[in-house]
Amino acid sequence: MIPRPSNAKTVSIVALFVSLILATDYGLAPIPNVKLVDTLVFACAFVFGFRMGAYVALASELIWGVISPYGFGQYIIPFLAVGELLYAFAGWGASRIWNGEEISTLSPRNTYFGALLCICAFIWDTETNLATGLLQLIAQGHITLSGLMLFEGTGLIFMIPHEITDLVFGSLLAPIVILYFTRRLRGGALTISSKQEEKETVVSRISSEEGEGRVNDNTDPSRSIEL
Amino acid sequence: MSSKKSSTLYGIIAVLVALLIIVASVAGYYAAQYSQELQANHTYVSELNSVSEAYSAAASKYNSLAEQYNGSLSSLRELALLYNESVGDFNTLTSTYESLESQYNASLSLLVSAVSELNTSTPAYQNASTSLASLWRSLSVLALKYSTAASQFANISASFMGILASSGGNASLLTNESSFLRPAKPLLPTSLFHSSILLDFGNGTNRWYNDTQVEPGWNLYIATLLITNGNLDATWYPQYGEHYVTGVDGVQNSATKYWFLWVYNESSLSWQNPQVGADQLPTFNGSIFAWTYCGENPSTYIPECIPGS
Repeated sequence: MIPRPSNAKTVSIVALFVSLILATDYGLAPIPNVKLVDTLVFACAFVFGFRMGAYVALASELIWGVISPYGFGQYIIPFLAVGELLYAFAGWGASRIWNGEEISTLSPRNTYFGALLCICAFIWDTETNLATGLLQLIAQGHITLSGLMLFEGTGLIFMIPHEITDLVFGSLLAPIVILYFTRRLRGGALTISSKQEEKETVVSRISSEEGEGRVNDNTDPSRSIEL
Repeated sequence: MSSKKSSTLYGIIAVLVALLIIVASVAGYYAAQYSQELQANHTYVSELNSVSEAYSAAASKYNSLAEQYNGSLSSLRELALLYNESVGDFNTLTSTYESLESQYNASLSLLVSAVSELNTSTPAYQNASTSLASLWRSLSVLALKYSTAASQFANISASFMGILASSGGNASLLTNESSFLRPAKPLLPTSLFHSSILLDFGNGTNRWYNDTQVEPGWNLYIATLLITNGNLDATWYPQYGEHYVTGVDGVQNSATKYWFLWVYNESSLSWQNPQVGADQLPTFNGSIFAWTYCGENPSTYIPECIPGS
């Protein structure tokens, strides 16, 4: 029998990341377009998978869109949230490519994370600028390509610091977060592994326990869980 | 390719793409800025061109106005020269007139003296008495005409100076105001006396000669000569220095009627017979005299009429 995933730990991890994101967002609010949300979503998705990363991305952007010190985001909120999923996807993709390798705090390979985040920042900014332009032009009742391009052009000044900060944070901070949570998982109550390994581990354990006549105990801290 | 090499390759590609994106973003930003500045520059250039055109138009208009002003200024200078010439001519005319008038007055005075003392039966007296009136009238008309002309010229001169003052101030013209001649002030006519003389012919015909202009010092005899155009018959008595008037304006003394002299007394508001003859009665401003033709009381020799009755 495959053990149920622990929703409490899922919720707690999501809550942890969302609160970290919101706290850093508020702390960095005076500096426009400099945020840690992208790095934390990426790191979460890298460590805990795409689904966890997506939960964090959606929750953080939805909450931030409502309680932002810049004001209620209105119709742009969905675009921000969907755009943030890109980082979750990037984090998950990076974990598929580089998960088997040793990650250290100081390594030239950390620039790969930064580069991914920079690319995602570019795509995110393009998407949100287009969405902003579209919403404005719909409100004016006159949608033109030149109008949309104008919004893209005026957003360039904000796009550049976003890309550069994501490159820097992705190179410096993302590995630290990844390492921290990875070590906590390995050295603590939780382990993290691929689905196949998990399945094999569970099957073999069940087999051995059945053989020994023991009942599975979900409170065993050494159990691996499905995430 | 091993997984490690492929992951490294993916990483390098990601880094390159990221760098490309950053460079492209910066380049795009600067391109946008350049485009904005270029557009602003075009706007400035077009505004500058339009301002330059407006300036050229204003400058050409200014030049044209300056030419007109200079033209009018030269006209004004020419006018000023003409003005000076005309004022000079007028001043010459004035001095000439004053000289002539002085001589005329002198001649008239001599004539008056001659008429006052010539024997009335001589042809010289006849001519002089007749000429005196016409000459006096001519002088009066001439003096009036001169006074009118001088007054008009003074007005023209004042208007011209007023135009100069309001011309906006060409400094050279206004500061050299002393270069403008002033018209000579016309000689004030000698203060003449205005006297009124009544001729009562006794038949109901009364002829008033009001405000007869006479020179100061002239007597009633001369004044009567003037108003009758010399048609005054009299006998000169040199020992008395008096003329005995025997006829006025063609009406002669008769056996029963004579010409009597009267003076109006402003105090008593009545006519009075003077104790002297017309030669001894000086005219003064506002004096009123009368000649009446009527009989006299054979006993008292008092005239039987009073002027205007």
